[in-house]
Amino acid sequence: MVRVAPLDGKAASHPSVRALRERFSEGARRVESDALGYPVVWIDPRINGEALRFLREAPDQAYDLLADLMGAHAGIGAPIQVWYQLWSMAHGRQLRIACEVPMHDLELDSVTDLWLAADWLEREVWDMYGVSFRGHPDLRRILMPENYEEGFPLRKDFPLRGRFSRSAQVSRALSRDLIDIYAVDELEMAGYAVTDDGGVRAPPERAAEGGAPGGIRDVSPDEQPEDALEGEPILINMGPQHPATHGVLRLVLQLDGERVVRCSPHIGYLHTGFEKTCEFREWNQCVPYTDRMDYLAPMLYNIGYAGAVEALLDVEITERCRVVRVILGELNRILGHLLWLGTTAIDIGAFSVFLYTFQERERIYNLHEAYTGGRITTSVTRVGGMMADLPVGWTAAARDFAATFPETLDEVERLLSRNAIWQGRTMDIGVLSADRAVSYGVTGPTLRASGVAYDVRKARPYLGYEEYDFDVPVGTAGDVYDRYLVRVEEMRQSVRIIEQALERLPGGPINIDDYRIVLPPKGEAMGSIDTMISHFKLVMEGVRVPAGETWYSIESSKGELGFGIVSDGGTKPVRCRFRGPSFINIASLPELVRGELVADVVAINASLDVVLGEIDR
Amino acid sequence: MLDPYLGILILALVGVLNAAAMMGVSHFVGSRRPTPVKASPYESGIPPLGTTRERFSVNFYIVAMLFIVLDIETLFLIPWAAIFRELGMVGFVEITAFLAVLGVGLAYAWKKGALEWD
Amino acid sequence: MNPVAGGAFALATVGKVVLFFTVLMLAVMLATIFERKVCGFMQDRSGPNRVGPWGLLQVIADGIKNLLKEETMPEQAVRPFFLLAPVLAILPATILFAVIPFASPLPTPWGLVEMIVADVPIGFLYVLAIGSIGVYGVAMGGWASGSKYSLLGGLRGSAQMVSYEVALALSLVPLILLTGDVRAPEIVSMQQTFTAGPATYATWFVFPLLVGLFFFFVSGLAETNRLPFDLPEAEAELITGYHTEYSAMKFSMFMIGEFAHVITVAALVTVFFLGGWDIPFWQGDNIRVLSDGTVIGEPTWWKTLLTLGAFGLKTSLLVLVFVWIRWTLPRFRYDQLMDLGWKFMLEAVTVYILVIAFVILGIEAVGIPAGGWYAFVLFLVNLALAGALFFAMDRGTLIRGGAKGARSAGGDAAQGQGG
Repeated sequence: MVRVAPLDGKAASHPSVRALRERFSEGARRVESDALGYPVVWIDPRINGEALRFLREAPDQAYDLLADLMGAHAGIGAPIQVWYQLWSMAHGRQLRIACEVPMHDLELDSVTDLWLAADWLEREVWDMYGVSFRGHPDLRRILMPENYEEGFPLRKDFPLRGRFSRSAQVSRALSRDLIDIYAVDELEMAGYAVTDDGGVRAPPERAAEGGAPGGIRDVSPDEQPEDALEGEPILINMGPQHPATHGVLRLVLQLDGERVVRCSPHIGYLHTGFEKTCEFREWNQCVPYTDRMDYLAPMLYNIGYAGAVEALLDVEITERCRVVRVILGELNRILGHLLWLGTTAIDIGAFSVFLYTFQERERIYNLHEAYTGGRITTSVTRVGGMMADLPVGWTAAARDFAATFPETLDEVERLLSRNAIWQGRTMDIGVLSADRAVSYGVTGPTLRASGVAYDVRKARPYLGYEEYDFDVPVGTAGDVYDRYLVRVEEMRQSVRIIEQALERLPGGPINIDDYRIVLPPKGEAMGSIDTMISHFKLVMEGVRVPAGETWYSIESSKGELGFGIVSDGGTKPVRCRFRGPSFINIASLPELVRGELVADVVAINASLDVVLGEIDR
Repeated sequence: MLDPYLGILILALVGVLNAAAMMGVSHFVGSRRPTPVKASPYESGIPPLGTTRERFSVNFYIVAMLFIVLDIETLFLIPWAAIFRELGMVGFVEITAFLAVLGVGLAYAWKKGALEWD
Repeated sequence: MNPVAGGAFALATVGKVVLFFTVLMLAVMLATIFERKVCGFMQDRSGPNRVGPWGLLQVIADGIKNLLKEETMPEQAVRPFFLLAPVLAILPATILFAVIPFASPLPTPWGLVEMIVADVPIGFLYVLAIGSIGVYGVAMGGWASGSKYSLLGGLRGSAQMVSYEVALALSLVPLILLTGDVRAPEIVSMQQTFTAGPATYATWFVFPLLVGLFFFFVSGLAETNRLPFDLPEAEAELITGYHTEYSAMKFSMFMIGEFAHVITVAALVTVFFLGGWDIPFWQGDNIRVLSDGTVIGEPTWWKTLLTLGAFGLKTSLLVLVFVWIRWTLPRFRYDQLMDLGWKFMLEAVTVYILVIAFVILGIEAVGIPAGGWYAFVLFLVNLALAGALFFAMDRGTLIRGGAKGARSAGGDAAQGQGG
């Protein structure tokens, strides 16, 4: 059973906690505190809809951002936990509502009518834990194949390698049966009928034609003449193997001419079950999994994960480590934004910009390589510090990059910012209003382009971000052009932060000196028996993290990157949840592209800056 | 003197031969190992749903009709341009009137939404 | 010396066709490597540099590869049209060149040989006629492939090419107004200085018809389906559009067709607006054959070579401009492109024709003879028109973004919010 830190006075005095206790005296079962200190209210699963509605709608609560909705399972026989991670923009408050859903009655009220973000998040909890949500409009599997029948992978009774045999998995992956590939409503839209035994029947007139090139069919007498003038809507797959979907994202578009009538994203092509795998790895062994999710800005994931585990451990990392993490984090923010800039430009046809930005990315990759030996999969952090101290001369190289990089940015801006075609292709395209954006749980530059100045670095500073002088650029129109401007400006701000951090980079050790957490230097391990025992235990067992749970987040290049982590005091996590911002941002795509042209789908999809590694995990 | 069109004829012949040669040589030299997956049309790696032989949006036909109308404009303008010095002011006024009529037609089509492209 | 006639004429024609065809194919090959090299230079990278000196043999290697590649054809494809489409794409591009004079006439023992494959009386109308066949390749390839991306590309492509064809043809009407002739050799002569024969304008038409050049160049860009007008094959949206399903040599034929088209448009711009094979500031190359067979000027073989070089240089520079534009600009969206064609170019070019006609009538009424001053007056008119035109083309007025108009209130984004 998970043990949670005892309630301290601070959490109990939180206004939302008091209000919840007053209003739902019985329903608010107990109040605890997250490892970071904000309150966690455990409520009765039968009142979850009501309680969350109160928190969303009461003016003195106004939790308008559903940052995360995740499940957790402590062990076989234990109830499934569902966490609602909330943030109130107006009041700047953080709160977690959690409930334990008993295995015999896995049902909760859906909150899709309160937060649009809940749509995909609830689908994921259903997919992974089998908790069904009353009133969810479209409760289907999301990461696993839609007709996956082998259970719910993140439950503790589900084996690590799944229940399918290898050969069944392969034949499933290669299947070209329409029912394995399309959603049922898509098949029906194209006129196919799905039989009870899961087969698919072609539409009658097409079957009669026998697949021959039939030419244009006659208008039937009962059709209205106006209808006869319309083109037939066609269903077209954009992705998974498409140059503009930035990975194996698949959008099934229903087109009328070139206009999008409906867009349904299919994700999960890259799903490898990182969250499940991490439950079978020691705390430090999870680090390499994190940088494979956002491989475009890997160190941000490393840093966020290490920070979350350190919060559970309740250790303070050294000042040098904090500053180094800030430098690396901002370098990776630039890395991610540069990739975004280049690929978006290439999607809109400006090819040269792509290569200009990639040259700068190469310079950052060289810095990665000089430090970690890896370029893309860096695995740079360890719990309690870094994998090593910075090599000699690294700061000079970083300083050189920070000094010269803005020139490229200026050049790119000269090519694009005031270019009439670029403006024509991006202005007023994919407009997302501030309210909708918050409701969708969209974070990062995409949210800020809609005019909401929410940046985790400012809202809940970590790694000492409050000590740095930087601005958070905010857009006004919330269109693709604003997202472009915001990201470009963020890169300039990142350069500012890097310069300040390099200026203040202190000496001293980079790792903490607690040998229960970090490996002792080799010399010491060989010299003293105590240290050698610590070394042995760390290598053989790994770090022990005290029982507890936390939901910790940082600002990644794509948005709020959350880590929901549960420990039972062992050397492996019980639950390791990654709240990839892309997963939630991309959920707004169907609304953004409705009624736009195919070319705009490409621009809008690019403007959301998604990386499929963290969507599919 | 032989007809100057002789050159075009010979060139067209060479052009056709060239195209045929390109197709032919690659047909015989290139490898061929067809599989069902290769023979399916490319739609991002997913078997397509439905057929492409559907009706197109009527807008594409409107473009074609507008093209024919306005190509006729060209048809009248070029002969006029070739001898417009002889026609002088009279010809100019007449062609202006012709273009004005055409312009009214285009404005009507525009107003009716024929120039909306989706 | 008189122009060749009879059997010598036929022989000369065959010789010219063979020579010219070889040169065109070589030029296409060079153009592909040229594009990739220039693109590499613009993007701060090497470009092809492995096969042969400076990567020059890369095209040969590509050609061999394309020959040996597997050809695929979707089951759903309509076989005859699927096979015909690449032919229709490459054929017009290769025979378009026939009416373009590429050097000054060459004197031979059998008479004077004009350096043009076919000096037909319909002149460049032939280019417009044959050029429009290209649309069949695009439409047919897109429709016959049986793939939805190809279909969308084919539809877009045919709509686009058809739309800009009108503008392309109309943008040449001012040229006819000025010259009263459609034969390309005559147009080249009109841009040179002569003391005998009918009057000429003594200056390249880029000056008296500056705006016309702009219209022609833009429509030409659209007709060749190159960025920023490469929507039919926009790879970010439609994979590669109408030739998605084509592989091996058939794909190559589309590409050769495209490059040949680029060279042709560049050559046409050279002939119509940049004096053709004329060498500037040198009167020695002013050679002209009148319709009655009289030859003015002194043709020699070295003048033919020099003018050929001048023609090649001008055309190459224009190809460079094409490449430059391609690697600089983003791509239009379909509706923006159609709007530009139908709602702006068409009207603007029609008005331009009327203005030029009116000004010419005015100049004739005043009594200025054809020549430098004539052209200068027209140049001034064009400068004024160009100013007005580019004012109208200013951003925000012509290319609009989405329909939702969230930005209609204006106001700049991305103001820093201190914190």
